[in-house]
Amino acid sequence: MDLGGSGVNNAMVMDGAVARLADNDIEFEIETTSTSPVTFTELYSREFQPLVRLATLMTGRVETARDIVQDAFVKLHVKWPAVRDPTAYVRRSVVNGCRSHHRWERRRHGRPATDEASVDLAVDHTLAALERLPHRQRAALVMKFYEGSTEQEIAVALGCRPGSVGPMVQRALERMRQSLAEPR
Amino acid sequence: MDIERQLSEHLAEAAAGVSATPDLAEVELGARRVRGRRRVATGVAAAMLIAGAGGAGFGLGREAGGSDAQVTPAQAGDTGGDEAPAATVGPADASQEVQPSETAPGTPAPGAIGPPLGSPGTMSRDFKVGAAEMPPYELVVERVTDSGITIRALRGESWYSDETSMADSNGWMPPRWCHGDAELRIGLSGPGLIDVTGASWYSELEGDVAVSATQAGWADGQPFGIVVVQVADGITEVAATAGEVSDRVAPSGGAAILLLPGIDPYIDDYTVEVTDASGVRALDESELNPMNTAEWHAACEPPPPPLPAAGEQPADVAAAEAAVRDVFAELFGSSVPFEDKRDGLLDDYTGVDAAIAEARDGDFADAVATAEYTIEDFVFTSPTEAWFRYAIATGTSYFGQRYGTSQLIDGSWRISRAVICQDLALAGAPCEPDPGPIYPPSWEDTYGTPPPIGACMETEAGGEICEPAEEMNVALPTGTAPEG
Repeated sequence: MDLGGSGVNNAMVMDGAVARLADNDIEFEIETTSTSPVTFTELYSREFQPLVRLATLMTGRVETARDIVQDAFVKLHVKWPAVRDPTAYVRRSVVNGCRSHHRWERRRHGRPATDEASVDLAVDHTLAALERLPHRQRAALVMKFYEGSTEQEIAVALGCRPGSVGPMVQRALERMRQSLAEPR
Repeated sequence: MDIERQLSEHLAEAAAGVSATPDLAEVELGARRVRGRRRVATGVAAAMLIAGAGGAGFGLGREAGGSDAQVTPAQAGDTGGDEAPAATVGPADASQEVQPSETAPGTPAPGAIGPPLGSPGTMSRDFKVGAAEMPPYELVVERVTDSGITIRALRGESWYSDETSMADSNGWMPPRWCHGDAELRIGLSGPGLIDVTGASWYSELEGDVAVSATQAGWADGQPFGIVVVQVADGITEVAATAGEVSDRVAPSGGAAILLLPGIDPYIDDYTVEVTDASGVRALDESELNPMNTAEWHAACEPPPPPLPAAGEQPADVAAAEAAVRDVFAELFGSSVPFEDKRDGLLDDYTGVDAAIAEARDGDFADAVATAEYTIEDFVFTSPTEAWFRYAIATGTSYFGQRYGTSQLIDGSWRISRAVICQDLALAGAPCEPDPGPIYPPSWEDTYGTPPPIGACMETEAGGEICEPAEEMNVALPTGTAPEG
């Protein structure tokens, strides 16, 4: 078992734009959008912390965020041979995981998770206003104003059209303005 | 400070304090369990095996041994033949390593709900292999792909093969081409791969093709999209393409079965081309997904329950009907945001604005962009009330047999709140309170008692939430679409 980082043994070789299964005789090729060699380990090492921070800002809980990110990497691990753009895949999985978390909390408590979710973030009226937003609006704002993502990137992560992102961000900001203007 | 800059600074500050411990071995362990779960997920025995492995599910960091459950890289890499990314780093903290318990074959594990697979007593004593009388299966297609994968497809009867099973309570039956009325069992085998899946078989074709799609290979971690194209005589070749993946074959036995490695046909777009004496033709959306067309619904569903009987008519029937249609078109038109056309459209706005706001940010907001509303039938039941039947068509879905009402209020026609609320509810954003769907009195004659508004569940806090269609892929009124 190769533990050194080449990712060749018992895995797949990312030779430029083509990924090939290398540990059995199934010889089909799957196009990837990656233009540089990347192994699962390298991707995990590179993306883990940024994704945990992203998920924490979306869920308000570090431990929840870590679980969501780990689950996303499990899904990527299972589907690795078929995933064309691993970075985009895992990123979208994390955003979806945060959405599922919100839904689950809402079903469990009959309301959005925001009342309990801020335990890991410092008391901050701006972030509190952010937490009161619906998931998609919150995710869009975090990706835009924390990560500096483009509308295209946000659209990919949220599974919507790029043209929807701008209006969504504007509505979210307007809600935040209203929320911050309310007497506390 | 403007809100954008304020938000950026606060998010950066909050994120700077966030740190979590990576653990690649935990990921590999989770992936290994998922693969194992998929392998055995076809029977009741799956539950026994998962329980025997030490915990159902693998809620990372929480269950299956908790967040400390880690394996060494060597163990994690022992995937038993799975193709998997290589493990190249160990756990972040080697001192936390915990060896997973390995249960000897045939030994019930702690917490197991029954004996493990393969042990005596797994099967019911009453069950005898071969006791059930199965209908005969007929080999339709057998081919070996260029990559060495053997495909065998056998056709057998299904529940729908009995024509009367399609009849509704009034004896109405759809044409046979509407639904697959036989079963196709498709087996894939190759190096490191064995799987069986099913697809529909149509005993009659409406035109010259019928397409159904399925997938296989998940049990071995190698997803394969399978596209079954039944063809009429004269078609000599069929090709399916998804991205850079394609397959091409001459039909045999009335069908071509095409394999698309790495493609999930339920998610990924694919195209199909057929070749006959006149050349190559790409199948259009109505051929790939006929159930999404109004034509299919018109031919393949029972006649819609009629609207209520006409009553006393308005003085100027034509003008009144035009007024109702206009307000309906304005309500669901996409050119003007709802806020800007709000007044004068509905008889009651209770809970509507909030539901629209929720729907705008819901999962189906994009479906709005292609939604088209069509009134298909119309009647005045009194000088101040109209009933109509309408349909919603999006690029990917069709929703027919929807009913609405309109009332004359203060000299102008308004659409009932329940109309927009039933569409918002389908989009996962019901109005509060939810009036439920509108059914004409004749509905019960065709379909029986209307269903309840939606499934509800009790919350731990003692409340009740009802989410009738959150997961349904439905359309919103186009007037609720976000811009862009």
